[in-house]
Amino acid sequence: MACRNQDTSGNDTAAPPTIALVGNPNVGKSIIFSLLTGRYVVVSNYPGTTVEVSSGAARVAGERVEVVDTPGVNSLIPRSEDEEVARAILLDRRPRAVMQVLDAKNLRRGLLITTQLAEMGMPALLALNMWDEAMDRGIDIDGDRLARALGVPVVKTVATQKKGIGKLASSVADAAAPTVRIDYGPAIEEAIAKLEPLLPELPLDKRAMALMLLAGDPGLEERVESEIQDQRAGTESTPIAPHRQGRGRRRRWRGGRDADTGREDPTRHGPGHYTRDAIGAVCSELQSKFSEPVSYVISKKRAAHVDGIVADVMTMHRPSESTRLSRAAFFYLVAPVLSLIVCYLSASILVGIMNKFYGLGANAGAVTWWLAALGAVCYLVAVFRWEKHANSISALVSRIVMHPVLAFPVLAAALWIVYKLVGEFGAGQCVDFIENRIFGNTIEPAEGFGLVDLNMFFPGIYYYLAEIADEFGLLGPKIPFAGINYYLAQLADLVVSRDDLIYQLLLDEQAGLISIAITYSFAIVLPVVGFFFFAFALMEDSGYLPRLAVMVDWLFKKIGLNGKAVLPMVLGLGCGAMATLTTRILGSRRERVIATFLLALAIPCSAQLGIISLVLADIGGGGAFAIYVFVIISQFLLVGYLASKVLKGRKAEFLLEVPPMRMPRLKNVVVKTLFRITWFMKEAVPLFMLGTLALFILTRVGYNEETRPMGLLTYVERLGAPITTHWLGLPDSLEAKHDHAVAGTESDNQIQPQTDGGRRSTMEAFIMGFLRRDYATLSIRTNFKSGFYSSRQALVALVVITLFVPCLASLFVIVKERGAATAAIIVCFIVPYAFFVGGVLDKLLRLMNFGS
Amino acid sequence: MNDKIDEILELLYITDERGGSLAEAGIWPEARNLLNSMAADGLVEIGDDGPLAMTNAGRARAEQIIRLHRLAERLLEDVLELSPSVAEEGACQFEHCLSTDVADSICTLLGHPTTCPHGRPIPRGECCRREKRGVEPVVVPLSELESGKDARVLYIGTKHHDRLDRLTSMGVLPGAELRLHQRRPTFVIQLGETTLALDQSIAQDIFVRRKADRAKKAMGQ
Repeated sequence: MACRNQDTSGNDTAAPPTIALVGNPNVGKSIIFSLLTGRYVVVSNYPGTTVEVSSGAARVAGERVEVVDTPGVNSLIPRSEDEEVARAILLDRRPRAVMQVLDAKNLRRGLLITTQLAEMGMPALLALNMWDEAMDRGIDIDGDRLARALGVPVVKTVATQKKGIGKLASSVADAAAPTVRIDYGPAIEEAIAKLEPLLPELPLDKRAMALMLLAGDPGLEERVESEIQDQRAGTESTPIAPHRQGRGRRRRWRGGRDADTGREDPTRHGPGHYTRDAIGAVCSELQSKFSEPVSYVISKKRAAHVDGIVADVMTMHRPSESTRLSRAAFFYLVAPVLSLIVCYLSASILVGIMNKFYGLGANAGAVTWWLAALGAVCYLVAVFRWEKHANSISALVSRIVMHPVLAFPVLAAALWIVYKLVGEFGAGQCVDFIENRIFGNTIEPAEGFGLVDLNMFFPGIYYYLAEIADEFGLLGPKIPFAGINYYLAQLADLVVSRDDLIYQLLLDEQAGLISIAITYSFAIVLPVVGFFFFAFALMEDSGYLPRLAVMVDWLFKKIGLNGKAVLPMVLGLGCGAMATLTTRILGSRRERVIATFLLALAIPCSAQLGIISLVLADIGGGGAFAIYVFVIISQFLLVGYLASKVLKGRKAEFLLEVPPMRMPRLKNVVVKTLFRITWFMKEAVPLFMLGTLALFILTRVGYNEETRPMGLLTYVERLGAPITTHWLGLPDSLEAKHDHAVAGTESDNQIQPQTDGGRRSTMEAFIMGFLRRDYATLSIRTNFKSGFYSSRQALVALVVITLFVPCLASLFVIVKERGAATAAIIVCFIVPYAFFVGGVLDKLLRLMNFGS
Repeated sequence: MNDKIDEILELLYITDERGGSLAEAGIWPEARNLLNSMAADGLVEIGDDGPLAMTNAGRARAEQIIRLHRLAERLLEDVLELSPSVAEEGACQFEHCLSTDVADSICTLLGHPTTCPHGRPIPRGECCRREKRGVEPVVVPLSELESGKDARVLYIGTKHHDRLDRLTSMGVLPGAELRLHQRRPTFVIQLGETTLALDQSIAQDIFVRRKADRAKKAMGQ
């Protein structure tokens, strides 16, 4: 995602020629990019995965070239921020060849872009990608005939299987401007002829430029305008590229098309004024001849031409025999089993809830099975009813997971699986194992582990086999591993004393860089984040996420967004900074601001969520969990609703291309997960270290047993006390100091033995919150485990820290994407608001006598 | 000559429809000869003491004229959005020059309307009898198509430039064939191998022509 930007290409003499990858969204540009350059960029099954431009070196046809991956476009007349980025590449980089990737199933839409490339005079070659899927659906394209019709090389590829990539690379040498010329009818052709002499020299064919201007293209208008000025001012001799790139970038960061106000800057008019007016006059004169927008007339002509080509080269067959076989397997084997599983899972959730209120008792099991069977029958009826209309299994599954009723059990089952994988297995068992068995602590040796303890990594039959094997002592004795931290402490003892500053800096029980920062990074954050990204990648690659967007669109409309925002929101549960970057796929600045704001306020990242779920599990009972979830979701909706009222703008309309459902490829899922984990850890670990160091310094400087028992932190505690103790009802850490010994012995499940210097700080969490919220949550966990916080106090603290400011990395991204002013407003609202909600919650919980 | 006969039949039909009696006296005197020739053609019967009655043949012809007139009113007022007075004038000319087949096509296009803009019933034509459900228009906004139906895009009526461009670049263009998968929670359409999810507000702007059900067609064969 965060690859090199295009801006690096300043000097053009030494730079290798550029090959640009363009095409419709979700056709496989990024995967071809990876294959050509060997660099990984995130590949997913939803449109808009690539929001930034990445480039990489490759050897193509014996020559060193730079390959540039661009965001997907549906038209080269940009209608959104990412389309603008893609077009800018074509204009600014003057690529040696444009490699257009087409979805072979969707030839028509791909060729619409090819005709535009032809008009722009871009040397092109075509990759008919997803050839296998087209074959499965009985679509056959005569590649040679298409190549002759267009005058460019056409290569059939299956990028996911690396088929055809070699041929594609070697065909680059033959790239030529497509020979398509469309007659747009007398009125438009006349207008083009009138415009051409007025236009300045740009690296773009004049006919194409004229057509773009006639169709209405604010980005190009701006370029033409400044170019006319430059020419009049006699500055043409200076290289224009750097200047233009700077402008291009500004547009990109500032939300491009929404910021229409910038276009009418009166100082820009100057000498180019008359030409500009003349161009405007031709455009409006042409428009007056049509009752429909000119761009629509042009599109229709173009589509008609493309239809002619498609009819000539494409033929439809019956789907192949093997497809019919796999269909049969699906209908009689996979579908019944899957629908039973889905229905059983959702039925058991339903029965679980009913049990709480009505007490079904012994009948619960039977009720679950009956419900499950009933549900499964519904699914099967649907499957067989739609069977003859769906031309592929993928289309059939797609209909079910978007169906207004049938989709919900699937959603429930999907969430349940994600919860089991990430929440119970990742955040529960894995964290427990790595934290207590692998890392351990500096004081007591960990208990070690045997092979039987590894059985949790192998669910299912192995689990039981391991248990049995262990019974008979087959798995051998336990490995007496005392924990990394324990060994390090032993090692350090040989060199320095435990009172030494360097020992404390690295291995201190409360603020050691290794014993705390590194341990938490790898023992808690890594497994949680890793499993979340794994689950997320599965949802992405199967094509489930965009379907989720379809289902929740109505809800998101209430908060000024639309279903598309589900992609950044769900990714936000993984990492807020990454998610803020992807808000670019949203249509307007208003939506992007609301989405950024909600991400910062109410979406905890998976690392934080993992630790929160640990604390909630410790508090126990479904009550705390339900209250927490209710508060956060209601705040999300409430604040979103208010934001949508405050921020003016056109209603966000929903138009989303839904990619086909696919079986995720394990390799891509794993590679992507690793890529994102690396991204996340690079961002989080330094902040963890920084936070720990800051704490260390704060508590050590000015330490005094009597007056400043927590060093400088004492002052911060005193400063914050009015809010934390009086408003939030959290205990006063300075007073608690005296009687904590009693509390310490009461708590039974503490991980760290409390030494006398044990610190219980309330403000610590909020200071750390500015760096990373998950770290702050750790502090709350420690406080709760040591008995310093009651259940109520822990819950209040958790809610406050969830709503609290986003982590530093997210903040940087917000500043970069939305501007410093917006970022400042967001932070200034969130901090007081988080405390406000916390205080109200405290009062309510007291009324409810919760966990007192 | 024929036009005049049509006018008389129209008048007779409307008077009948309003429950009035048809007296010879109501017809202008100079039509006397015309009425006689109509009676000779078997379109009307003239009673001894003056009352007029349409024969079955006469009624059938009158129905056809009225049908044309009222369909034309619907077309001009509803679809072309002309003012009622202009529409009325146009309708008066239409009724004389349109053939039955054209009337049926207009009727089908308009979805076999049952009343004219003034609320009077439109006599049913052959096409209405053929169309079982009777009230299902052929050209509808996508937002009114039932889920699971196939249709072809006729035109896109949006005023938003942006929306139009985004739709066309995704392949939603006149002539494109689509199938509406579902209407809730959002509209989901399939065009070839492209699946699009869109709002009701966008669906309202896309006008489509229904295609006959595959199943029905199969049964017909």
